[in-house]
Amino acid sequence: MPAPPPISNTIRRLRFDAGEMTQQQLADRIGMTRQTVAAIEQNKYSPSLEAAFRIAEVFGVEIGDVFQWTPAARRTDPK
Amino acid sequence: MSPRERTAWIAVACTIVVWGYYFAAFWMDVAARQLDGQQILIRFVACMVVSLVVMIGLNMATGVMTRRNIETHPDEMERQIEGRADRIGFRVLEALVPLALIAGLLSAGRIAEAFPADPGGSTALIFANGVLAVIVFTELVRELTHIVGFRSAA
Repeated sequence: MPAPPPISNTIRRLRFDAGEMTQQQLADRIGMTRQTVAAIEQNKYSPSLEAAFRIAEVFGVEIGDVFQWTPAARRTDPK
Repeated sequence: MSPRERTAWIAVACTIVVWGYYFAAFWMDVAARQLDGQQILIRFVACMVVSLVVMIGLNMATGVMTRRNIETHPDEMERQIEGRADRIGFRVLEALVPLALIAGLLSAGRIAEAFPADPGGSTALIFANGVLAVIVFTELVRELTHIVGFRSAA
């Protein structure tokens, strides 16, 4: 299995902040299945740029507030 | 479990049970040196019909075949999983079809010897069923690849 991409996301927190929106509700709003939203949230699947923008649009935030680039060096050793 | 993953599980189960029976029966006939073209054709058509009916029935029973699911297009992750399964399936097909044809050609003489009553018909039957087995195996690999894709994202 390939290593997970060096991208983290805050979808879970954003869903919680948006009145505890369910994965299914988010999926319906961006035209995806709940399984795909769950995979994105768990960092098992990297969405397309279009899907990433759609997710940001749903929460009314910038794309950088949803997805963050976290290279291995920064993730493992901040020194 | 997404509707498409459920469909893949149903297809795998149906393929193993129905086509497993068909090929087991066929190769038992070959081993017993009793190939009856008519009987094999009937068995083949029966397996096709049973396979279709069971797959449609199970898809309806498990709630996969709803109007909403049928009308919903696969999303990007599903398309990616399907694309990977198609690529792997195509490579399997590409590798196994020539192998089946070469094996058939190499053993044509021995098949004709083993079935003196109808050497031409028996060779054609074994040849055709060899290619059919490759097609069924490829479909099985494709569906299993779907399942692996869906499971690794779950």
